[in-house]
Amino acid sequence: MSAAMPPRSEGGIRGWGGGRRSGRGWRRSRDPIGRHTAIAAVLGVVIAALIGATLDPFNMQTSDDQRRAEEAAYAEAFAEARPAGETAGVPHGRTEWIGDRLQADAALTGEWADAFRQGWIDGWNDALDALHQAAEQAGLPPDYTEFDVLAEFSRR
Amino acid sequence: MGILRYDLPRQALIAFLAAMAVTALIGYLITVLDQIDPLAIERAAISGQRDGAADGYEAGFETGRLAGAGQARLELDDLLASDDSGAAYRLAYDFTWNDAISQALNRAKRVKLEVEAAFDQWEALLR
Repeated sequence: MSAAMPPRSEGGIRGWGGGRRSGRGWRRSRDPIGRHTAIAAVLGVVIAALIGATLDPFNMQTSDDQRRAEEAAYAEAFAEARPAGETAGVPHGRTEWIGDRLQADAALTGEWADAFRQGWIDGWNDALDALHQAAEQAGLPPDYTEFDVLAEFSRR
Repeated sequence: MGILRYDLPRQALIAFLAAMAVTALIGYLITVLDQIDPLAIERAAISGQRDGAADGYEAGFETGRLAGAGQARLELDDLLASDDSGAAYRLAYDFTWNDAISQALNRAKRVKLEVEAAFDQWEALLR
């Protein structure tokens, strides 16, 4: 081990760097243990990476731009569509809850409740008839999906 | 530039510039390899917009549906005491009419294999 190492000399390690240590600080003529060079190299990598990440000097469109474009469009469309969905959901939820409640509790009676129950049945059955009629008018053969689906729905 | 007469600053500067150059080269190669067609970005934006609109509407609808249910819970006693049976009939009729059509459309679109369809005619029936 000691045979392979260069012999120590006054003020540094012989064989590392080209000249004698002369002067102070940056005036020294060599970098015997490579510390300054290593720090400069690390700084070069870090600064180049920061410039690349912030300024986008090559200005090419990559998969990252694709992901960002998709996410931005998604967020914008989501925020725009949400109020419309909320507006449509309120009357739906209101009627749905009343319907479920009146179907579940036969003790809730009265003119209003009876009319609601009748509308609940008629609307469903009439819609099934209208769907069947529309499929027939479209000229679809009787073994088409539309008719199979309608056959799965039971009338109220 | 007299400072570069000395080895130490010169070595540090060379190391710094070389590191920057190598990093830039690697970054450039990665960017070039990862480069995509601008049309693909447009398509991704359209896809994101479509999904966002659908999800936003669905999320809003669910929020509204819950709010409507809460509203109905508060109103039910007043509604039952009301004598406006025509309004009650229409309210329930329109709801189940649209409900039947929506359910039939969703189910048929999921299993449909034929080319011809009556979906446009069915959608036109929605109120």
